[in-house]
Amino acid sequence: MRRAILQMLILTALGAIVGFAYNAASPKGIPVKGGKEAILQQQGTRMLTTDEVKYYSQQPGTLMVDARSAEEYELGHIAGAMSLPLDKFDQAFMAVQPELRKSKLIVLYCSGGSCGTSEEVAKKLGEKGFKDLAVYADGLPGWMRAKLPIRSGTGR
Amino acid sequence: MVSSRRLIWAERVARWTLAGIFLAAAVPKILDPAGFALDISHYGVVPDLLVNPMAIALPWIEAVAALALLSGFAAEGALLLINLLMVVFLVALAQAWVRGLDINCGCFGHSEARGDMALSFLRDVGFLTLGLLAAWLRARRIKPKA
Repeated sequence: MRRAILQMLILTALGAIVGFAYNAASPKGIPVKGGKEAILQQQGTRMLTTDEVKYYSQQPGTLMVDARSAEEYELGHIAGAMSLPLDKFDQAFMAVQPELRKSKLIVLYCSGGSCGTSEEVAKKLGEKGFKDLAVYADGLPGWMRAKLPIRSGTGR
Repeated sequence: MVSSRRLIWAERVARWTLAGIFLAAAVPKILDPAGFALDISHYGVVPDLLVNPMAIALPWIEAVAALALLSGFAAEGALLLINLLMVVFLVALAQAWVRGLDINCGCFGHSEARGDMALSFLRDVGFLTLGLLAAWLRARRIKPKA
């Protein structure tokens, strides 16, 4: 058993060393520090807090985008946000494309810290040439906790 | 005890199958570390400080363990490592399942599709069973007489 534990520790150390060396040399390498925010920054997407989103949502050059499913959007969404669900992205993108401007800040949100749909939609918009992208980390739950305005139904 | 070629081959098949599973899991994560880091963060159990180092190191640890299983070199350590990793993955999946998180498992690399946590959990229970079987067979393995 002692031998197996020693082997396991050596294999773990070897894997970690190779991993960090590969990451340093790879063009797809990620920042070691900074967590999720650093990864998103690398992809050209900012992470915003509730206060920042509240401020930007009141500016004329900002578009709020809900990345959750159309059904979830109907149940409740940030007032003024348009629906661009990840699961029907291509179809929904065609519908909202006329309103999306590459010069505007696009703030995407979903159901909070554990949902990744806003990040996925941000990545897709980035691939389509949209540069000013931000993800609202706390999402709709954070917005509701702050008692900020929400709407239900298909309209904004 | 009687030596058994059947036992030796059963251990090899179990070990090589595990090696294949772990290589298949490691390669997509190595190719997309950013996606894997985001997948890890969505579980909400790893401190932000450790998310990126984990996304960098873990796929290579899986790959090195898989190569050890394939070659038979340090296989006991590799089996111990893989079984411990499976326990960690099962705990992570179980808490995500219980919390009802709608996230991608990240088990075989990053994907847009949301996974079924219950199915991922059951699949990993199968992998852990195979890992424990391989370790048991290896411990029992007796070399055939020349």
